[in-house]
Amino acid sequence: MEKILLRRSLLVLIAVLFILGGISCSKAPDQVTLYVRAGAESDALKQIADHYMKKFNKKVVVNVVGRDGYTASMSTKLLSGSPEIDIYMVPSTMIPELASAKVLEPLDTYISTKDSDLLVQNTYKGTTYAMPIDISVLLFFYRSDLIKKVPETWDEYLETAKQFSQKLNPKSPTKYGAAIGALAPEDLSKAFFCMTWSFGGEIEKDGKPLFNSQGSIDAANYYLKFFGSGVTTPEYLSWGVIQIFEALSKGELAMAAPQWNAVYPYLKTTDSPFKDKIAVALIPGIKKDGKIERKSFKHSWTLVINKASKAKKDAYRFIDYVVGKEGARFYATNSVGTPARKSILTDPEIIQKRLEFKYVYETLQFANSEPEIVNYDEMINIVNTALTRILTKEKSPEEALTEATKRETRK
Amino acid sequence: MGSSCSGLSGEQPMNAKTDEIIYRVLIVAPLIILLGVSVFPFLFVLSISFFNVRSYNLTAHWEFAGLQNYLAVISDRENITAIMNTALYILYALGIEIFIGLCIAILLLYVNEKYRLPLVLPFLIPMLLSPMVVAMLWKQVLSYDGGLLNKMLSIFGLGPVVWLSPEPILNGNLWIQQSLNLTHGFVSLLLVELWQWSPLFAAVFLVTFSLLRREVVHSAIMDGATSFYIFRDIYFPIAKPLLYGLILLRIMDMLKVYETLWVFFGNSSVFANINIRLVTTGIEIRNYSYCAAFSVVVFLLIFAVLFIGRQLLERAGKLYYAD
Amino acid sequence: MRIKNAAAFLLLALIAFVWVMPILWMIMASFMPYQHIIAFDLSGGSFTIGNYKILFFTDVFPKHLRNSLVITICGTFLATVLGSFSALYSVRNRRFSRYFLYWIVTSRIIPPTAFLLPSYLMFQRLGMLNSIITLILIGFVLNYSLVFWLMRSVFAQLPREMEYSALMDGASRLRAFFDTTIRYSAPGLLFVAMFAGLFIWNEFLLSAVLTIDSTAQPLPILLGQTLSLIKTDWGVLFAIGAIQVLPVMLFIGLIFLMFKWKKSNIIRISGGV
Repeated sequence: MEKILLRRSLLVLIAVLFILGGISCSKAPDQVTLYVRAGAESDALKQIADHYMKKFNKKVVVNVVGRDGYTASMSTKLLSGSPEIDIYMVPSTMIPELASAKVLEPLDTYISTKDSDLLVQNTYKGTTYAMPIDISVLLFFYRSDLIKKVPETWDEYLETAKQFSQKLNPKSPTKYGAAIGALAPEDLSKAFFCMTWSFGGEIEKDGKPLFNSQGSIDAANYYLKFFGSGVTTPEYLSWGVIQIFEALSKGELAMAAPQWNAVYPYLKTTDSPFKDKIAVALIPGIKKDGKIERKSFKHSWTLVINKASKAKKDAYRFIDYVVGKEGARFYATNSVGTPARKSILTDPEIIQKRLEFKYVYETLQFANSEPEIVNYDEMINIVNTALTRILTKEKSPEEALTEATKRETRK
Repeated sequence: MGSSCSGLSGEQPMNAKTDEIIYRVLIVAPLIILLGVSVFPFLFVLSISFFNVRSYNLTAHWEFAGLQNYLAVISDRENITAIMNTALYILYALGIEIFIGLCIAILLLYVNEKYRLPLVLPFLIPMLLSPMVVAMLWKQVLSYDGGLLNKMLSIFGLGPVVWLSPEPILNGNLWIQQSLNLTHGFVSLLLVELWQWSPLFAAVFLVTFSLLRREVVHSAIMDGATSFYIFRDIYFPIAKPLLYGLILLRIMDMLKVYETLWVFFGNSSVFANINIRLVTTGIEIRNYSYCAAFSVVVFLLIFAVLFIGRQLLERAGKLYYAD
Repeated sequence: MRIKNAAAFLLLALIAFVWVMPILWMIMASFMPYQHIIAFDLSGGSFTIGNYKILFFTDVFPKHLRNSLVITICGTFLATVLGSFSALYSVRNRRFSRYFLYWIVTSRIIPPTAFLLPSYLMFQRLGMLNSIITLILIGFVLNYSLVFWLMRSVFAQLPREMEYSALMDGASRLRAFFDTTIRYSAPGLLFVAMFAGLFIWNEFLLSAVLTIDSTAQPLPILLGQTLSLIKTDWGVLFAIGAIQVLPVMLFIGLIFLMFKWKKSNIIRISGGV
């Protein structure tokens, strides 16, 4: 008799566990759920979400997800059509693909007036699908206490770095002289595009991919020279913005370019002994006819509304606040985010608190952005593969980049 | 036990009917679930591979593509690299694993019997760890600045090494070393694999060798056999059946390696193996048909290898069937 | 001979210590603050349980832990029960299909990544993407063949007369199965269940793809995500790792105890598992 009781109670326990497992968290009717990538933007979003919750008494939940593979997991969730997440943080480059897959809610019906203060208009084929919440450009960071003459060209950058690498100059106060982000997929491709433009090249022509322009080949050769010179870590393929940020804050790195503008305010929030010694400047360029010609890189992080969401109006209200003038002001003054608004970036009062805004706005004047194509992730994968082959010396820059141009299947 | 009847197989207690139903359900249920989760998705994958399906037209019109995806898959250098990486990994890892396992087992044979088990147990712990934990742990141990291994090496005065890089390990010809995957990163992968799984072979050898009766070995020694012959003709044949089964098991598990690669190198095309390539094409690039075609090609490849392997083993009469 | 014994023992003990050193390092480092781990500062003052505190006070870690426990227990139960039944059926009935066996072996060989895309698309259609039930089913499917395979060799060793005599005494088929076969293969069954449970506890890839947030995600996913947050906080990571590793330690301890108490019984009945 006890055996039967034991067996039955075991079955009941298992059944209870099953039921417990099956229950998913229930959402409040007007709750807005976000899915964002860990980083400066997520910290900023969490702060502004708190502010929004207190001000308007509406519930906002921010899910922060790790950086590695964020675009993969985010696109997987978004493409799955499940209604659980209302707002996704999406890089502007992914909007064409997501819009074509019809998983983004068109925002034109929600927007009442066209906002010309915004520096980015995230439209695809004439329809607005996203609002820009954060803008990023590539700048130049250096230790102002160690470096008095700021390098203006890439060659000067390399030469200055040699003085500050312990491998080449045992008396150097810093371990590494300089660092270029080479971590796939994001840092590697974006920094390379920036260098390509800086060296006078292009990455597309008449809507077709072009990765073997002379500028790209020069950039690739510069990479080989730079990474082989000993001025940077031998683990450079694993160094992205996070590792470079850590190295700067520990005082092990003297310069970093091209590097994201968010590094600067983020450093200020740490208790690093070097945070006040790290200065920002415009990205180095190329000397042409006696003048310095600079080119940089820009891209924006945007918020989109999931087409399958059940709280679209509330979601748009949140986005409207965060991207709007008032929200952007809060965003700029209380967090490390960089709103994509001209008025905020040029406001003298805000610039007092966020010194790098001056450089961000100036860089935006000569910054290019990547092509808006439906197979963006495929392009990035192909470019990164080519770059990895170049850096491991398996192929020459010309070979690898020409092959990359052929492999990309753009429609 | 509550049985009320005495020996007549026809009569059964009252709850026999429900028990009978439960019995049948428990046999059929797994088959249905397995069918649903393995066969149907496979058919779906097969059908997608003949079209041009990407993330943006999954729910819209599918353009017919015939064998285009298969041609693209076969001619793409990345896929060939991935398959080669997987194959070389299995080859190197198996060879060295068996050797290390053998060494540990022989050492264990010298130890007094009652101390063997407590001595073996620490070796078995790595086997049971989660691949994710192992990957994360070794990523820290092998990192260049501040990693455990480099710190230990510096105690002995040896320079820090960049373990997780595609640098070749010797100073010679680059192309040869890269083709044979003799790079630091690959060595790191093998290190983790050997650390986790050599003890499995050690345990198998130990179990089979200790079944050997001492008299057999002693008589062989008296007959004048050297250590080499004793090993080849006495010890090895005992271990063979279990060894072959274990090799098959290990090959199947090595085909599943993913977490270590992802944590160490991300999607790096230099180190990608079949799994990484599948995830890259399916989830990152989201060219679903291409990924589907690659999956089918991988299936066929594995079947082909298994089929050839079985024919060879059957031919040599070494296959044991437990039917 | 004594010297050889002692020398071998010492050498092996040394090798064993170096072998488990990474694990000891991880457990030790989970009690060290981040700065000390990087600087490899092993001084006594660096002991802290701050890492664990951080974990238990976040809102995601307890959820991940709960998910892992539920998925492991239910998945193991499902795989063990259904797997053993099929194994017993296949051993007792001569007419059992050889092709089914091939299919089982095949499903073990195919890398799970090949099932990634199709199962993702399928579960998306069914709307089961962020549920624990999905992961339980996946855990079952991945380990069914393991249980089947291993239990076959266990059951093959037990005489079918036991069940027949129970049937003759009037028990239903189910009860005959339970009270005879199961009782005598219990140690082997426990062993196999623990293996299957361990594999489900450690599963990462499929769980990562088929879930969205911490409603249903198990612990290894948390590990993967935390690896790439703003700062690679090795202390917290090692703490999660130490918790992930706990069942393994218990498993090893259990093996040790089982061998000590029932040495000969286990080897005879488990039939070479």
